[in-house]
Amino acid sequence: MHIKSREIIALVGESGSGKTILSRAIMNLIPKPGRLNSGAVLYHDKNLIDLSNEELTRLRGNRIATIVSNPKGELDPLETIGQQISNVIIHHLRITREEAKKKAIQLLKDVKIPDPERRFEAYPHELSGGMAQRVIIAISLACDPEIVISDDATSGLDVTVQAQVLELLKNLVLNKGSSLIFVTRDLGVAAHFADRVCVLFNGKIVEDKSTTDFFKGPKNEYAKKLLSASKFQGSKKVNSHNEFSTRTPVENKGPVKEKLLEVSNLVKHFPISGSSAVVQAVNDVSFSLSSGETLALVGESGSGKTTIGRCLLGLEQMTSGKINFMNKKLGQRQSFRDPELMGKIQLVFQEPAEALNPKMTLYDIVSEPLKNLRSNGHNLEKAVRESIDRVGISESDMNRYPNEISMGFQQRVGIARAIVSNPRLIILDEPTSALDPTARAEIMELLIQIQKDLSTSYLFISHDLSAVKHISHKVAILYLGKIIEQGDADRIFASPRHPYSLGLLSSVLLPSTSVKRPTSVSLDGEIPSPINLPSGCSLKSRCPFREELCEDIPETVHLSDDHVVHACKQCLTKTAKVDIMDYFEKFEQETNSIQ
Amino acid sequence: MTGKFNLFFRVLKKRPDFMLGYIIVFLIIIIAIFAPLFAPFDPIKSDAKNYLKAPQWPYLMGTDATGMDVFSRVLYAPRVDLAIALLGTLLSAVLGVILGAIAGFYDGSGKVAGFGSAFIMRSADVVQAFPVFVFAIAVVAVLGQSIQSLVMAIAFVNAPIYLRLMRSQCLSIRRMRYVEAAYLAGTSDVKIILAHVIPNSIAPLLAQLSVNIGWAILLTSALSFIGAGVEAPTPEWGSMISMGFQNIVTGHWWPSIFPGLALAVTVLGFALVGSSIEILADPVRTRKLLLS
Repeated sequence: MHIKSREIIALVGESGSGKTILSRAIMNLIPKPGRLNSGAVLYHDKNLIDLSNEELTRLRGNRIATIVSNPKGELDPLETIGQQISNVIIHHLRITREEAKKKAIQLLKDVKIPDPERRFEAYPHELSGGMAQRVIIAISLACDPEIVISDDATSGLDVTVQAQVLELLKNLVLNKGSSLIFVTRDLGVAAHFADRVCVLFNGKIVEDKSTTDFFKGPKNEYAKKLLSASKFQGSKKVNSHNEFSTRTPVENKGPVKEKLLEVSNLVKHFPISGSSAVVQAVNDVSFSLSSGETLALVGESGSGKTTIGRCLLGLEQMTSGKINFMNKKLGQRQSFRDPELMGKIQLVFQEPAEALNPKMTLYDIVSEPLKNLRSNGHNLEKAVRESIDRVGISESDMNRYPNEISMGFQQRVGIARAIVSNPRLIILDEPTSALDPTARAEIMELLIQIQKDLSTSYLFISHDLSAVKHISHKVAILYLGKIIEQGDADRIFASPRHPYSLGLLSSVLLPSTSVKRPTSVSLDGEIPSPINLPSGCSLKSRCPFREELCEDIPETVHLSDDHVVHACKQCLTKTAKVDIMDYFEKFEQETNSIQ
Repeated sequence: MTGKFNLFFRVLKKRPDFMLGYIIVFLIIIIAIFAPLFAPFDPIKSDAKNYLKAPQWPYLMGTDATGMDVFSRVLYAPRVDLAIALLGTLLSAVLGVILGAIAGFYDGSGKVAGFGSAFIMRSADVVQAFPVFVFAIAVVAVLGQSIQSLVMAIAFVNAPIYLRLMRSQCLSIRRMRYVEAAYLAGTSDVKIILAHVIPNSIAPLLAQLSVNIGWAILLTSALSFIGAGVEAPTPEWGSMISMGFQNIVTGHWWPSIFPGLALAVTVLGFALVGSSIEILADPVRTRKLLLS
């Protein structure tokens, strides 16, 4: 592998492919007991492997810098961020503290941290994740390094923030004339920000091509598989066994669809101990869901989407509101001991490993819901076998333990447990966000197949918009605990009308080089704290259309029968002119033409 | 399973002192079981002619003031000490695990369950507010001096340790996703505690168990030393030390020193086994040890 100056490479691979080890080998920082067996890392014709520790220390952070993925864990909680930046500068450049401070503030300004003089004195816990990541970037750029390695730097951030940070990083690095290595598993990042793509598989680089060539068609089999898995994420029409749509058509048996779940005016406030303020996690949310349908709840972290799911399940006590499910009231912790409701709503968790009891075999895990329903031995075993079979796990694996199988399979077990009791509704709480692209595509396909076969309803909670587009019939976009836009999925993806929806959609990084991301409607900044909600329009600090003194009060507007938006009139006229459909449509056309 | 044995032996290789601990515990148990085979004399038969003999053949550790063979008595003593300590510790662990699981699982929940949880914790506070030794004496005083009341005393003073450990484990495990999943599946609270919470929180308690057996032996001996435990002439290390105590000033050190040494070695053995289990139960610490 090689990198020229002013070049941006993306090292792409799934977990365990060796991408992080490779990036660390460059700085000779391999964790024990690993060891570099052979090979050379040449930097300006010097072999870094042969250098002594002292010489390497001079290079690390100075000429070659790393940006890590867990920004909050990387910053020392006892030092102000200003000190941490200046320490690096002083160590490498040997200048006085005052000069270092000046330079540090300049750096904070460069990474677009508002009010850098004040932030200089801030401690890491006062910063949000996105801010902390900017500080890490500032530290790594402090000495104008020639090579910057970004190790999954943005994977923990929300899509909107991710897009901002990557844009910033790319511009800064190019302005300073450095080179950049992205280590990532997200081909979307590679497509939009890299010049060249290296695909790693089992510790080997299997493909090394310029980005445009790579996305036109990789040669290596594994690279092909990875790309098509990522594309499957981005488009609904790649799925070959259904020509028109991968979504299950909702069966319209009668003139009126059966309402399975109805949520009205759901409110959830978390009190803050020692103060009268409350976190307004969910604020007056209403929606409904019919059988066999999928509703997606979309939003950044902190928008309240997970809390809604947990309120439905009674895992959190709602503050007020009404939840009707199969004509029964829900929302109490004891609701699920009611024999009629038992097993009728199930949940698939975000973290597959944590959702499975490590001390139980897969068979025991999957059979647990049925045991409570007191089905007899023979039926129970048959049902468990059926659902294990349905999720694609072989029967010989039934006596294994969760830690013996991969994450993708753990999630399959979670799904098997969810479907075994024949539920009417499954709440999917970010079921794919912890998974690698190929496993992600497989799980999505599995979920769609299950819906086809069993006609279960899904409440799909996600911030992954491409997955949402792929699976859902209806979409509700949440911002600060409020639904700001909801309606038919196709309609919302084609013409979102709330400025926030526009910004959210435009921040999706589709894995293709030929379609241009509409950056003009990108969102600024991050989601405000839900403790003291801004008065008036909650988006006014971030809105891409905002003007000075935007004091408009948003109102609920019914654009059509199945499209409701909660925004101010002025914004609606502006958003009508933006055409975001292109971005998704062109991508789909392109993907289809390759197929 | 072979993998686990392998790991066990690799840890022992790194820390030979753990090996020593296992050897000591093994020997003590063997001695306790087969004491009649090893002991040359009857441990409670006094020989009035041969009192306070210095260590010599056939009295390997000499004789005490009543003419009983110290060596035989040292060999017989673990039968009493170990039995009391094991029973007491096991009882305290069972008590602590059950109460701790209840206290942890219902912590902060309203109504009866929450009140019960708080009540359990405050009771534990009361027990722990007194010095262990004082509380044990009080238990023996109330229940009467017997081996059963010694077992009860040990169970009572140790139970809060397990209770707290179990509760803190339970507090984190009840928030685990698999417990929420079980609840959504309609599993009852009792079943959740038995199937999900206890199996996943038992490891640190096992380590505590072994260390505690050592302490329990010490406590039994201490109680016997002050005359609140096992009564003479039953062979027991603590009461032997106390019986031989007044002879030390006259230069007859052996009736006290030998049982004292035996006691010290035994407690050391259990402590070492305890810390080895503690490390083995924690994969991170095991890895660190193996890499060091």
